[in-house]
Amino acid sequence: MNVLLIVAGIATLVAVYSLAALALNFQFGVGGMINFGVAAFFGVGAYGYAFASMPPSDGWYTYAIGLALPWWVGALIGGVAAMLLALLVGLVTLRIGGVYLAVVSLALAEMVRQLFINEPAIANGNRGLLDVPVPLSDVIRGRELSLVIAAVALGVLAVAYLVVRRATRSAFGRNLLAINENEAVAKSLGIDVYRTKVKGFVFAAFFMGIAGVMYVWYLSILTPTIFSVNITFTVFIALIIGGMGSNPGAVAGTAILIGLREGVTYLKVDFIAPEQLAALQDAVQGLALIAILLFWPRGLLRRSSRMRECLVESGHPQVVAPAMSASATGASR
Amino acid sequence: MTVVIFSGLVSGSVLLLATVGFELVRRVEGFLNIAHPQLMVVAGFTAFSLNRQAGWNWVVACVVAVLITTVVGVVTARIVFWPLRGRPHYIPMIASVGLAYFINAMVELLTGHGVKTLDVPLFETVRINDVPVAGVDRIAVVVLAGLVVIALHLWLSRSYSGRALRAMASNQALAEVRGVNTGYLQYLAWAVASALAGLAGVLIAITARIYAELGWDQILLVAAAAIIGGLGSVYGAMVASVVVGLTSSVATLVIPTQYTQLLVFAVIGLVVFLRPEGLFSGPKERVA
Repeated sequence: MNVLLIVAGIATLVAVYSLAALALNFQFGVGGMINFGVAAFFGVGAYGYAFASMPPSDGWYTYAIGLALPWWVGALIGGVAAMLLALLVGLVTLRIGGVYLAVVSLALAEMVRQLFINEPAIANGNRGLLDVPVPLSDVIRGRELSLVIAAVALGVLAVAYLVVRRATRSAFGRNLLAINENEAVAKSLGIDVYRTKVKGFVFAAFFMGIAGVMYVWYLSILTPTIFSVNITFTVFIALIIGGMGSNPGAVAGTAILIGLREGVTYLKVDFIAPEQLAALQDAVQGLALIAILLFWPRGLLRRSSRMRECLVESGHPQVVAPAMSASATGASR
Repeated sequence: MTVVIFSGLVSGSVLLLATVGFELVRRVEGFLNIAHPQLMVVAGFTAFSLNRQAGWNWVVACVVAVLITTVVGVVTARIVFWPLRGRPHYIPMIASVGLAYFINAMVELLTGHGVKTLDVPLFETVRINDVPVAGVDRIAVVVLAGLVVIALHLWLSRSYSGRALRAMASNQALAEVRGVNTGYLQYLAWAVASALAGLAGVLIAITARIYAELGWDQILLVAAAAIIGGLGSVYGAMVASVVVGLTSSVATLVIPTQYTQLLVFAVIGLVVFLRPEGLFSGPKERVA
């Protein structure tokens, strides 16, 4: 049972980060939009869910809103909250070059974190929300609950995967990829660059928000540390391990990273203090990111740029240059 | 009021030293080095170790810390960033996030959590008409930053290596054809940038406190100053750093302290939205 619970916990975490990695892949791998603020959308989704699903504050500790809605409505509200934030950020930064989005989104996560810490009235400040509702907790109790949560999270991931894959292969996704490959050519083909980018950014942010919601299911408490740069960075490494631009890579990369990282925390080591172990984990992750970028530019799991080939094969006449589409036929993934 | 303005000037000066190096690297290499402010942390904590743990005199410890930081900066460039040349510009930027993480974690691992200060003598406070203005150390910071600005200006506009650096930043292939030793200049640019970051870190350690997360806090300010100044302009970045420092200090008179960073962030958002080329540079990207 104990082992099963550990596996369920890891599976939930893998589902959470995979979903965020899929969303980031749509923004960054497909659309070329560098979002260093994954944690901001993740966290806003989580807080959106908490506000929607918690009962109104009863005075034991304070938070601004408590709508006491069912968990699935709360989850959707969390996703929509992340989308609204993405709309704001996208409208401001996507009109101009990519580095501005990177810097603004990096700053955004930090600013939201400080806002939640400094204003205890919003969500109990640094101490956070302590008993955010977990789905089905009134039906199922005890140890089985974490198994059910893992199943729900994996189910959400599966649905989201199909949706994101569909979006990647749709005309809209191919337009986004075309912009990423060559913005001037995309524009000359009649693609509204700004509009497509904002739409892609907002669409993917929904899944980042849902990932944040599922993270709360995993923890059942919610503190402003959810906005920390750690989360952004974990998602980026996972995506880079799997290979940028690849949806299956995003999931596989996450499974490898989270599996290894969580596996290490369950190891019993006596010679190193827990907080030192956390710092050591960060250091190893940083080194791993650099090493992969240096030595395996396409990611650990990819031999070739398969998504590009796949999209060339699909031969969308508006996007793919004639010479390229003529060269390829046949199977898609 | 004078005290507040002066403290803004001090933080602006430190920010200037960090931002100029950040901007120099961006000019030469073409990417935003998120790990740049981590060099400030390296310098601060090296000075702390030499001063507090090895018992060195604080001046010697600080000078040695700046030298070590310079070496660290050049070595990381050599190992991490140079092999990534020719890849899309976001690749080295993401690598720099990894490097920032690594440095931050190593500092935490080696020195532990918590706020650290150097063993520095108490400095006298300078008074003008019996109104206290600032400690000698803080005045020295502003003067030092001023000297650095003058030296940088003279270097970039008068010396051969400075002008060659600007040539290389604007068109590397052309500079090479004209016989500029670009390999040497790249070392030089990274060394200068790292040394300035080291200087900034040491000055923070002397006049205030250092902590392991300092680099993450500073990157936001540095990026803000670089964007407000207009990416691509070293002089714009200088002015913008002082403006950011002054604004966030004077703002504490009007709004609660914890919101000064939010104010700076709002300013970045506005600048990006209304005038993405920056406040202090023309629409055409300037060289140095």
